[in-house]
Amino acid sequence: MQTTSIAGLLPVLIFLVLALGLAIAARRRSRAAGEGGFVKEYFIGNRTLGGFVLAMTTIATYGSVSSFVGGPGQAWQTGFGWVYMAAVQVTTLFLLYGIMGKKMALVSRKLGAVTVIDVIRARFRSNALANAAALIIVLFFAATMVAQFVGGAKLFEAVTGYSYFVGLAIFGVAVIIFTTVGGFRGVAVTDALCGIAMLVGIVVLAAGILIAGGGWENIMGTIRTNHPQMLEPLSGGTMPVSLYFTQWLLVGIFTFALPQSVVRCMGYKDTKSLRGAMIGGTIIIGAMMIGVTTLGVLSAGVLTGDLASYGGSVDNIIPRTIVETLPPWLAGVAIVGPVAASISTVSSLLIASSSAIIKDLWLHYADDRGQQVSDAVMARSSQIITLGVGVIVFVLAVVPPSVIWKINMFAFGGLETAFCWVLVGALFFKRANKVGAIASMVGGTAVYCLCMSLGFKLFGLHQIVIGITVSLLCMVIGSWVGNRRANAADAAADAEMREVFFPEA
Amino acid sequence: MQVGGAYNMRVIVRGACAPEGEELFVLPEKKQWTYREKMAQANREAKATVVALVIVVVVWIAAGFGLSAFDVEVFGTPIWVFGGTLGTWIAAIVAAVVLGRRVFADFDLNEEERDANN
Repeated sequence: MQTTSIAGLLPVLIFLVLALGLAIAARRRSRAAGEGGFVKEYFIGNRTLGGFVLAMTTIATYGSVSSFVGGPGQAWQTGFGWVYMAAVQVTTLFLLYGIMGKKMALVSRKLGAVTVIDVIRARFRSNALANAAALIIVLFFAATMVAQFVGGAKLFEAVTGYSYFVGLAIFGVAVIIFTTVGGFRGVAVTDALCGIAMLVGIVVLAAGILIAGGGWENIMGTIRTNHPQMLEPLSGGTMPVSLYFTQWLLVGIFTFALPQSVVRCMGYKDTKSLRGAMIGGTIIIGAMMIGVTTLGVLSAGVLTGDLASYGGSVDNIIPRTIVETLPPWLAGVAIVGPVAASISTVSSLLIASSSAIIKDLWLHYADDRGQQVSDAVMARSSQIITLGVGVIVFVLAVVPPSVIWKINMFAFGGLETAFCWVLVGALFFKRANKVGAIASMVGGTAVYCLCMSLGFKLFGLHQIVIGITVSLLCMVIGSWVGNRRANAADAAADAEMREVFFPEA
Repeated sequence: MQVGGAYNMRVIVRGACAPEGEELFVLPEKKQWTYREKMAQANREAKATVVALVIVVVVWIAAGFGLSAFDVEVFGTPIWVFGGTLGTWIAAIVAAVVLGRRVFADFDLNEEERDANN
């Protein structure tokens, strides 16, 4: 057990204080900005994100603790095949901004939409669909947030020696506060800080590993001697082509549909910012994902024992590596990286969950009943809900579930299954309608979750293939059924919707 | 008159140097996009993005699996590692630059933003 050291604690504390400061500054900024009302400021930052912050918040939201702990840990065991697989993530930014970027920005402004569900509701004119989407968001986001807290706290405990609960309390409380206080804008700027911290953490750890391992070529020699299959793409059979394929789908292609990413396309300020974020972001995410996963492989040159000697879980590899290659104060700096990855994901998911509850459920029903809700009530309620969801997630993280990576992937695939065809149909296919969308989201997600829990796979492929295929079939068949049943009343409402979504038709 | 490009304004000058009223030069004026045109542009960007994805996937396969057929090493590391990771990364950056500079268009995203209560 690592002895506690204030040196290990200090860098994280300083970092969290900086993040809190930024969130408070963002809140002041938004108070000064004023126009647009509370909801637009709190949940979409008044659409003011510039290129750098847009890129960093997208990357930081996407990159989670599994990118820094689970992924590299797996790479320690599997080898460069895992880095080759991680490299597919370099496409995620241009996919998101290219497919969703402009349309989401245009449509959301036209509608005055501040959440992804706002857009979906306007397109398909279905409260059932909007409610299903809100439920899916809150459930999957909650699972992901718990996993992030767990990952960050375990790492913290392993490196600093302070208990799991102390670590959880320190950054758990910090992230809940700065998200509640800062809103979307606060989350975006703290994400930018987190992105920088992630890069710094990687560089520091890289130095530690290379020095301890005797340099790159020496480490390669060690790997070749002990585990030569780590230098092959198929890694002696543990990385079959089918896994590469499903990972392309899961963490590459279908990430463009993740609602926590899509919402960022509603919050940037102009087309130049989008372009800058796309180019700069692609450069940064490549450095980050390829870099950190490679560190996992390199750690095999330092941690040369077998998995059992490191506690039997690949999640322990990176913490062990940090402890063994770096002096306490540098170890403290190195862990800021994964901690930042964890809390940046939590902050984004927390504000999005809160927006689903407040805007997509509560405020929508108040509007429906003709109730006017004052900005002051909105402000108080939004912050209470953000705080409340955060506390629930925190409590769940106190008694941690077992494997982080699987939970993360479960939510990822579930969200992609639920939202991919609904969003693609919403923006690009006129024929997609309410029946298809509901079938796609509910049917697809249900089948995906069922298969995941039963461990059922088609051709040994990850369930994302089943989920995406089923939700596509449901969208197509459901829309066809819906079109056959459409009547004159539908056509009238349709015309108004088409003005917004398909004006070129 | 909108002529579907950046150059919309033609300047006709009549005077001592151009007695017949000739067109001397064309001033570039920022094109005013309609909402319909902006959405059509967004469609174009989406399609181009999918094409870019396919190209990057092909590069990923060729530079990784493809190069793994060759038994060459640099710094004690097989070249497929560099190809599959750095090669793909560079391809993605090129894709982002080409999309951003060649395909993406700049226009004002705002028009009248509807109040959520409208």
